[in-house]
Amino acid sequence: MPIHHLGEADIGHLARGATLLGSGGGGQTDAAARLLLRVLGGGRVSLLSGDELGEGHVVPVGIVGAVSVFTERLPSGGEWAHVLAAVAGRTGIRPAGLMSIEAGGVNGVIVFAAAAELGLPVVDADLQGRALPRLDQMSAAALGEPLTPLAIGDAGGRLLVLDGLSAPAAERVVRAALSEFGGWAAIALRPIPVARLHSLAIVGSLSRALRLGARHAAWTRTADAREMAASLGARVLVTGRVVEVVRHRAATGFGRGSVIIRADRGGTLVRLEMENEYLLALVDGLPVASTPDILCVLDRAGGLPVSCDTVRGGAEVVALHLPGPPFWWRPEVLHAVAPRAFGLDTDPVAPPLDHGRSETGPCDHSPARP
Amino acid sequence: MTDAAPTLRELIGHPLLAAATPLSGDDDLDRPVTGVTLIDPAETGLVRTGEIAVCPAVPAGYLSSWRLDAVIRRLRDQRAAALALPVPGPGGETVLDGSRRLARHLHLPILGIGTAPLRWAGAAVALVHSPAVDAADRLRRAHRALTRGLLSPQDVARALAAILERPVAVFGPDGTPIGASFEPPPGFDPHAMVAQILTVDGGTTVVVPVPGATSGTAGLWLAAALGPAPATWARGARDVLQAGTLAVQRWQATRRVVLERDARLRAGLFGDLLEGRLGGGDARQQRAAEIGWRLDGWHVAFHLAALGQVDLLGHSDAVAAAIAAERIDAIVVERGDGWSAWTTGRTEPDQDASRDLLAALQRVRHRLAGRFDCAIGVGRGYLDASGLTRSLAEAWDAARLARGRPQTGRLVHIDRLGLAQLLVAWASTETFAPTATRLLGPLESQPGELTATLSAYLDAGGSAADTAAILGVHRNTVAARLRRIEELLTVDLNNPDDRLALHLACRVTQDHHPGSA
Repeated sequence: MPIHHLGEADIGHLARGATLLGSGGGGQTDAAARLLLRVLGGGRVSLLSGDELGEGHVVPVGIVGAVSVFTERLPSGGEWAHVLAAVAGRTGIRPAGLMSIEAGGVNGVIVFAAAAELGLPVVDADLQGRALPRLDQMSAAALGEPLTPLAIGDAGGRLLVLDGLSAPAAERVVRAALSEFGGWAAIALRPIPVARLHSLAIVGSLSRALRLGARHAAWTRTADAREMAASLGARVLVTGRVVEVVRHRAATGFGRGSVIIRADRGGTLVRLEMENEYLLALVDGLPVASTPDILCVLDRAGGLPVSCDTVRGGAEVVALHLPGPPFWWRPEVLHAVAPRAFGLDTDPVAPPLDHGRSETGPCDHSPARP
Repeated sequence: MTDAAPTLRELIGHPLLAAATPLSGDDDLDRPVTGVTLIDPAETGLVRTGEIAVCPAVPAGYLSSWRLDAVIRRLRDQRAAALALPVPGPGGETVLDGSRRLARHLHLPILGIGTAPLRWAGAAVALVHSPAVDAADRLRRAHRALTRGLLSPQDVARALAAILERPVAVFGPDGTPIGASFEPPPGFDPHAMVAQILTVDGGTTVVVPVPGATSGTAGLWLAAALGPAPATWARGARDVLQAGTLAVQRWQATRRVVLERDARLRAGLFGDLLEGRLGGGDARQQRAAEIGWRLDGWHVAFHLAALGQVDLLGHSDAVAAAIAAERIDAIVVERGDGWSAWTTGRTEPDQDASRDLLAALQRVRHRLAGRFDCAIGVGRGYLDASGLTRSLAEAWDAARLARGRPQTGRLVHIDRLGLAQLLVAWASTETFAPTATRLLGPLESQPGELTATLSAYLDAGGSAADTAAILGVHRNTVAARLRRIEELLTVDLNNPDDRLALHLACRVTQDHHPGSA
């Protein structure tokens, strides 16, 4: 493993990379990055592979709930010990390390803050490999493994422990309970044996975020979008202007929306369907990319990712198609994150990219030819 | 069916399909439509090239969903002519701007149907595959509407406009619109007596002649502005208009019968008037009063003589209208070569009144110039029925004179002429002058100034002695010349008729050849 520690110098790259993996969702990572910087206080956190950690269990941690509220009320630090103790008490397992529930967005960063507070190492793996909105979209849940016992809580001592529930049921209960926690809560899931990480989790996802972030940091105003995309292992869907953004407030579930981008050349129209994340891309009405792959909208001038919440008409953007975690393309789990899981009645689009990529070096792929 | 398939633009230009509006702009509508097929919102199924894919019902949220984009794309790939969708009224869900852009970009028009989609689709199928059905239905409705009663040309136009659901206008013989209507399209030929289907800038106008009373000319034209229209619909409209021409002709024929009956009555009374038989309160005078003729008061008559072959009855309405338009309050009667008319007032007309009348009549002539040229003569003012008779006679004479006088605008007022001059002027007309020259022709080739002698003799009142004195010759020479003249011309100078004819001939030829006098 090329990375064994995460220090101050890595926080910026981590935040960028986690945002890209967020596929337009997962929350703004800059607040989480500032929090992490403060918590590290000049120190560093071990980032280990499962092999390096050896035996024992790791506990997936993160936050669940409304990201906008998270930015207003940052974690104070005490919440991690609460939820971890609750899970440990229920299972009788003392964790050897932490892992992120979600590499994309805020949770790709916040796991390091939790690890710094608890003095635990972070294992280079997560349960989503990107950002996804629901608990039942955790890799382990998609494989039928239980997520419970799980605990959600906050620094004020409020705690909810669930056990014996299926992942969809846990998702419903947690979602319903979040308002009692002020919009978001820290979460710890059932510990995962280190030995089973390779089958139950997406390994290497945090180092992928770090590598993506490092390459993305090279994006300059004069950079050629195609070359930059190639360096990220992505392909350019369109370079153009956002001509229309529509958001539908749904009565239940998450709000849906559409972003329509008109290409600078040829008048091609690219439509992105979004929920919390960009989910499906159509070029001139033809689906060309979808979940579980990752779609990013970047501001053309600075290359900064534009989230689903902030994208608006008139913006000059580049839309990228980034390969999603190969884990999710496995037939037995694809249903959990395919477009139909989000109510988009179309098959997932297998892109003209190499899906047999290695777990450790997703950024090392040769540039995709659109 | 040998016709080319109608284009999308033509189809949605048809009244039956007018509920469809293009949502993706006006481009890409000029493509042939070969059929109509139904699709469901999720899957297009099989759509053939050139078909309009009608989606009869869409779920909520569909118009703004990505699914619509995907369907647009699939239909484009299948070379469909268009996608037709039900759209709710204003304020309802609508197609996203992005989807409209996509439709334009992929050249697949989206039609929003504002009516029951299946009914629209049915109508579209019928118009594409059997346009004759709609045409026959409209012709049947036209027949029913036009045979309900006697309709004026404007009434016919209104009835046909309701049936064709498009503006219908009446044009005059030269193609000028009558009443409030549209202009004839460029390329319309009012001299070609055939139905004309003209398409300019995608809009089709059908113009059909109503044959006039004289063969080979159009009395009127009926025209329908269809907008974008397939050829079959234009031909259907032509058939409907032709049914309308029959109704117009029927109206014209009926009107003519009324006019002729009226004209006969007036002609009879007018004959009595000219012969001075309308005096003294008898039954004839009463009938004259019944048809609005005033016989008492001061009358000024004028006569419009039509030049050339003119159907008088066919223009009587126009003449009366032209006179009324110049605010001349006159009774107008058809008479032989034209129309006689008179105004009646309480006082004797003064100079100003007659000058105004002349100016007004000149304008009447200009008004009628589009129909025919005419000569106008005006009589003097006289009192009562007998005076009217006299004024009419003067007007008629003056009109005869006016024919040969283009320099006065073919308008002659008897006041401006002495009677003698009138006589000579009358005799100088094109009809008499050659006769005069021919009459005196035998004298020209003879020695002895026979023409001058004859002229002097007649001017001298038939006195040979005075003639000899005037000419400076012996009296016997005059007598001999007169005998030769009688022989050469085979005339008898003692006969007053011969003398008069020869005297006029001498005066006319002198006027024509003053140097030889």
